Amino acid sequence: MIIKKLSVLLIAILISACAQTKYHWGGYENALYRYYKSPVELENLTEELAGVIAQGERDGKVPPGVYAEFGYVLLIQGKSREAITYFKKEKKLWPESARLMDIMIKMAKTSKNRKSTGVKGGTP
Amino acid sequence: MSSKIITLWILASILFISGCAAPQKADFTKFREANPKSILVVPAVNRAVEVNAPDYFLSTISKPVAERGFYVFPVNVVKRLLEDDGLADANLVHDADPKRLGEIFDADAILYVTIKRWDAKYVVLATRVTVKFTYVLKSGRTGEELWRRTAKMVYQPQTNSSGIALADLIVMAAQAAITKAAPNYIPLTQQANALAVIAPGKGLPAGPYRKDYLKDHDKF
Repeated sequence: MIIKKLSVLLIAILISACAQTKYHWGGYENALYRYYKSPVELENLTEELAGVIAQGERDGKVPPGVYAEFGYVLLIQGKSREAITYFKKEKKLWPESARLMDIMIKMAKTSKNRKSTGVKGGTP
Repeated sequence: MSSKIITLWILASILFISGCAAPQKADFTKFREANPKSILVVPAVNRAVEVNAPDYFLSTISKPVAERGFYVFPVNVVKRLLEDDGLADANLVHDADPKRLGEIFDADAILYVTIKRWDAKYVVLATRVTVKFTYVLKSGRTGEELWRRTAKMVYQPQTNSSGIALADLIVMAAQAAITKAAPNYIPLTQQANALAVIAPGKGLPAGPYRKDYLKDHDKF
């Protein structure tokens, strides 16, 4: 029991010690949570992601995936051209994302040509 | 006579069990061999009653895994793509061949999470909130299991202090878990994820975007 207690304490310390993060996450988690809770929060999610990117670029700490998430919320709001810019940024910063970003860029180009149909949650 | 033997047997097996309970390093052979650099988190399978739990969970998992030094694919983009592909049911995604997902997304590894508990039990004067998850990482190249963890977090207000040391410590760790109106599962979920992913000897070894990448063999 004592060992268990100590190890929990240790982990608690460890977690709090790790408060210094590699990346700037800002309001990413909270905004995504709110968006899942209520899709009308899309605007808030868009703003928060833009904020995370702005701050992250200043410190060189943009988290993996955030450019792509931002590109996607732009895409479902019909902003295909801007979306492509961010998919390309993701691909450049994180080469691991190349295959997925190629899919997204292709999708954005198609939706641009067809006035954003076929993308789930597209502009009304 | 025979009851004495039985007592001895029980004693021996208790000793044996407690001996095994000592903290041990998990087996990271498969993980080290696969050496994943990118992790695809697919939507969680839900075994809890709260239907929105998998979505809420998804908002908490990128940060801890990315902070361990891995490229984490954008979770919302992945979720929407899978839905567009007729894979809105997480069970279908979890049952699909990991190699297929690995191929589509070019992902080194895939993280499958199952939500086991996500509930609030109302007792006299107190609420006990519990979350429990299992995390299974599989190779996107070979389909092999690379890592597995279970994490559980319980919140119980101090007024109902049970004398259970574990619960009391968790109270300290997650004071924000409860509001009067509705339990907030997110802080507990974040703690569970951190516990699962960071814990030395059991969490995820450092990924390529960390300085201690491949230098943490003493811990993992």
